[in-house]
Amino acid sequence: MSGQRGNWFTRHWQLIPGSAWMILFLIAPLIMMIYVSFWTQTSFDIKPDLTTKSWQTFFSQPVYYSALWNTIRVWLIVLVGTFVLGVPVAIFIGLFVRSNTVQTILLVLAVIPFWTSFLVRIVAWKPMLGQNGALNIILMKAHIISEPLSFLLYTEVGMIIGMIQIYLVFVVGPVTFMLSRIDPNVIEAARDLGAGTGRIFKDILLPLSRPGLVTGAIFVSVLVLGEFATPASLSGRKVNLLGNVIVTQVGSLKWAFASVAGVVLTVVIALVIVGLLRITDLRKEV
Amino acid sequence: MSDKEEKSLERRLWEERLSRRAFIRAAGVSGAALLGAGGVILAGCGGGTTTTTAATGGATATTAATGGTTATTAAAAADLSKMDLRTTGLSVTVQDRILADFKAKSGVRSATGTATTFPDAQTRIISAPEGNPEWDCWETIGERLPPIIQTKRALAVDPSTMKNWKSIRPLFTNPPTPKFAGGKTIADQIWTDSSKTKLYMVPTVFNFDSIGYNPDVVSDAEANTWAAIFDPKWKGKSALNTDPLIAMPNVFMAMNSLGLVKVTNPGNEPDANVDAAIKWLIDLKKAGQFRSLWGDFGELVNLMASKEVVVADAWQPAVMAVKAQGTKCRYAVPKEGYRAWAIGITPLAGSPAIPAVMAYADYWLSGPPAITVSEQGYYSPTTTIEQAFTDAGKADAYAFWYNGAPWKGAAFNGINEGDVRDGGSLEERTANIGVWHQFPDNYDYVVQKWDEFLNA
Amino acid sequence: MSAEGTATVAADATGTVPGRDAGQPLLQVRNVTQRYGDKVVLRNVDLDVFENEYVTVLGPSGSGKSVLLRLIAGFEDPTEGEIDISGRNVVGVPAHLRNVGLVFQNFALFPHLKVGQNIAYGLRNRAHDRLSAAEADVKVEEMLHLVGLEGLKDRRVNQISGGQRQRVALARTLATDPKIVLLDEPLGALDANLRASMKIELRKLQTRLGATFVHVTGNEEEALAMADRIIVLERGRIAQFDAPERVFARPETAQVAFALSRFNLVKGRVEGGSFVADGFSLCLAPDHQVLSGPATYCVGYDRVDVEEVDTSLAPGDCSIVCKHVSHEYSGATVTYLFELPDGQHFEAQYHLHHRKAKRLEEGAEYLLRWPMARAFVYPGVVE
Repeated sequence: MSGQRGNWFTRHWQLIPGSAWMILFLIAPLIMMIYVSFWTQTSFDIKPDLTTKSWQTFFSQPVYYSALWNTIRVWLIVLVGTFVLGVPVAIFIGLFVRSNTVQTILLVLAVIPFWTSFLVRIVAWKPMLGQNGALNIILMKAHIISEPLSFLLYTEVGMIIGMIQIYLVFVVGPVTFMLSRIDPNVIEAARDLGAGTGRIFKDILLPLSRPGLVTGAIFVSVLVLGEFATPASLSGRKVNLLGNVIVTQVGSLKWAFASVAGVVLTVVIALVIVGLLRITDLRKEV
Repeated sequence: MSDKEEKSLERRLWEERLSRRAFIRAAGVSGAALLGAGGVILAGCGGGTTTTTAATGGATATTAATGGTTATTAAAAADLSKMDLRTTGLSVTVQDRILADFKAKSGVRSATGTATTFPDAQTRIISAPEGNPEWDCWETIGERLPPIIQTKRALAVDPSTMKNWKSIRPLFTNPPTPKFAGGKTIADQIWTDSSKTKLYMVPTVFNFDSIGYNPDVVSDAEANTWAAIFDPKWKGKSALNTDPLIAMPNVFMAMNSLGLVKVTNPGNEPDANVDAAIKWLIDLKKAGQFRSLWGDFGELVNLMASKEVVVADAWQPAVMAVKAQGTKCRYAVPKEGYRAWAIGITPLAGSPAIPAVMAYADYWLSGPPAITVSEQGYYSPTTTIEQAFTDAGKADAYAFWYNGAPWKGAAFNGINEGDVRDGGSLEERTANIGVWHQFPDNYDYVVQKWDEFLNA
Repeated sequence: MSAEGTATVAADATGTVPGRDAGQPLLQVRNVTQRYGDKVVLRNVDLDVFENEYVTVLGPSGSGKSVLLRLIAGFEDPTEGEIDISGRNVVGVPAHLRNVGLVFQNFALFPHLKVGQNIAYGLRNRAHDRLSAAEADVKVEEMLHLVGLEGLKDRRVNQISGGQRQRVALARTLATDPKIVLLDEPLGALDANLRASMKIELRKLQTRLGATFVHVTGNEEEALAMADRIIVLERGRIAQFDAPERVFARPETAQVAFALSRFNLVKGRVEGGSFVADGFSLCLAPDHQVLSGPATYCVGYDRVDVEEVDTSLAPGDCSIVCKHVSHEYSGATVTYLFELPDGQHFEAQYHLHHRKAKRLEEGAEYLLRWPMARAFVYPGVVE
């Protein structure tokens, strides 16, 4: 008869595909990346002789940790921006639009930008924000400004506008989903029991949509922290995030150093995810 | 090939040629957006590669040639019908159409091309075991030779075995001294030594880079110096390439003209001058000099066509593309001279198909394969190109592209009857080379300091 | 005590309405009309509900009963008309200032809060007389005791049964001491056993608290069993508003009779003093003979006796001979199904406490009879 081994296999075989996937595409590359970050880098080559030189370079040069702080700062701004704009949109779609059809239409509209490629979405901002762009033309026609605003494009401002637009849907989607699952009677019950709008938001809507908020925050955080394409395009390559450092290092064949930056970025992302997950247990609530 | 296809080819060509940033698209998009370097590393190992096969040979490689000393073997002497050519490199020259034509004309058993960006190809070439390369040759840009020469991956060959080598322009054998006389010429970079009997790279395409400007805003006189890009007059309206090996020579030529540093070789300056240049650049960046830094052909065209930028270091095909989009744009003749470069075929040591590689290089030099790239604004290194144009019934076009003659006949890619090419004839350009692209001795230092500029 | 028993008690009551002598109604709905676009959901609704009354609102879905409840609760305002609570017009007054509590059909408990927190919610959040945590706690315990959920205070609401959730919902509403408790199909989500016991409990609670309950239901049995008075809604109009035994004894319209599901409704016409259908006629009491034209003949299922064809009739009885189709046995009752000569259905229901069941042969003809005084005729034909 089957022994312990057989029992284990029959009980846990469903875990194998998922685990294999994780090991192959997440754990193994991660270990490889950590390993490579300790390799010896020469001008053209990299050898598996272990050294901490790349790590020392990263943390001894203000250039690189300033890129790290820059990344964190931009992440926070974009995160706050997507929430400030996204949550009201989600409340509108999820709570005030009670027709499922209209809700679906609005959500699909929010997702339409994703039918085009990432680069096309970024590039589309240029005719919007440029000095001869739509926004400047409108503002000038409305006599709000007399000179075109140049800070809208090829600046950090332009980059943040672009990122907020691109990642907004990752907040709107999950939050709308959670809000639309809230029984409208529950909100009415709270009102009937005497709670005002603020209380209802704080006591009912916030806790009940928390898994959506956390999911949205995780999406936005992971995507923004790993960004390199939007800064390259909309800041005119003038804002350098950790992702851009990695790309530049890979471009100059500094694999070991790119791995250091990659490990640092992965650690930051992991900390953010763990922090966000502490707010709510997604497994329990979704 | 239709006009449209040519245009996209031209675009691809330029995007991938000098652009280190091309790697972003090729490698980064898959992974870095999601998980930082984890993805980059994965993609760097396997991504960004497309393989095209002109013919499916499949069988084992012949033993006709085994690199090293036998490299001088005349291609004609080997039995090409038992050889498979495996090439890789920038999609400027690695093209199905050309490989298929080469196979038909040379009789090789198969010709396979793999388009790769330079970091990808270089990493794979250097990390492959010595003497057992993944490809038979690498089609790359001249300044990228030192890494594979120093790691013994490049194989020096005798070009005189090629039928068309006798038509090579003197630019590649006895080039004029550049204006910055301390710099290496292309000949200094491709030949093994001053005897010029063996070389590491057979040139196939070359050109001269300069400054693109909007003549409505910037006068010709103002633009005809590399210093124009850094002139406070164009604060917030200039752009600079992000590749340090492209941008730094421009910076040094400008600084020399402005009297900021004494420069002898803009392509290879000592650390102290690099420090001074980076400090100057960071100050300029913080003062808002650059509207944008640019990484690829499309970006540059967009910046100038939208008038966000009025002056930038530029490639001539990009300037032509800006004009074709209806924005005035001119290509300067810098007083410091042009920044010249060449792409070529480098045989890889240990390849079993060196005769096929040589036949392939010879084919490139024969003329007809270079017509398309010539019509995009590049030059062919052999004089056979003139006959090829004439045979194709395009003698007038040759005169326009190579001799600076006015355009005759129907408009072509935005060029109208009577237009002349900015900068004049090939001869005039050749006489005005400031510096050749080259690999600086302090490459690691330059790259590291360049990071400081990017992060500032 | 069974559900039937409750119904009997109510039916046996004298018919006086508690609180009616108190004069001022607690709740007055005055000529209320509610429209959504072109759709009229409530039409000229007028009603008074007195303190300490248990009123049920009976109607099929789409009759507007839930909308009426929402208007009273304050979730919507009527298009026309006025709603007074304690003599004050509350149109425009938000829900939480009306002192009206609503128990939702699906309970609408706060899924992320514990039982105790659910019950305390109103006490801790209402605009007036907000309680401290400690005060609320005392009240919560009191409420848990009231609805029989002692010890469940710290359970999550998804860890308790459906019946317990119903009690939590009730306790949550009752905790705020509303003057009027509105219940939207409160028993609809419960299984049959729970429904029976909950019916009794709701009545008990209402009596004990002395609050006014307005209970909306689509179930006629529930409506009849629990109410002091019953409002029958038919397409946005009040068809009848009276004590259940009166409604049952004499439905005011054919629609009311239909809503009660206890009456045979035969389509036909009144001609020359008798009710005529295709191939048969039925006798009429003198006061109904004045009608003429299309009409609906109505007699309660339990008023009909089934006899052999040759049985002789008593004076004042109506009768018809028709074919027995099938029967349904439900423990307390047997229902015999017949087919009238023109194909319409007719039922006779025997309460087994009162009458012995009969053994009938399917397909055979029987004589059905009922007292002429227990039959009504309404003008028009019920669809």
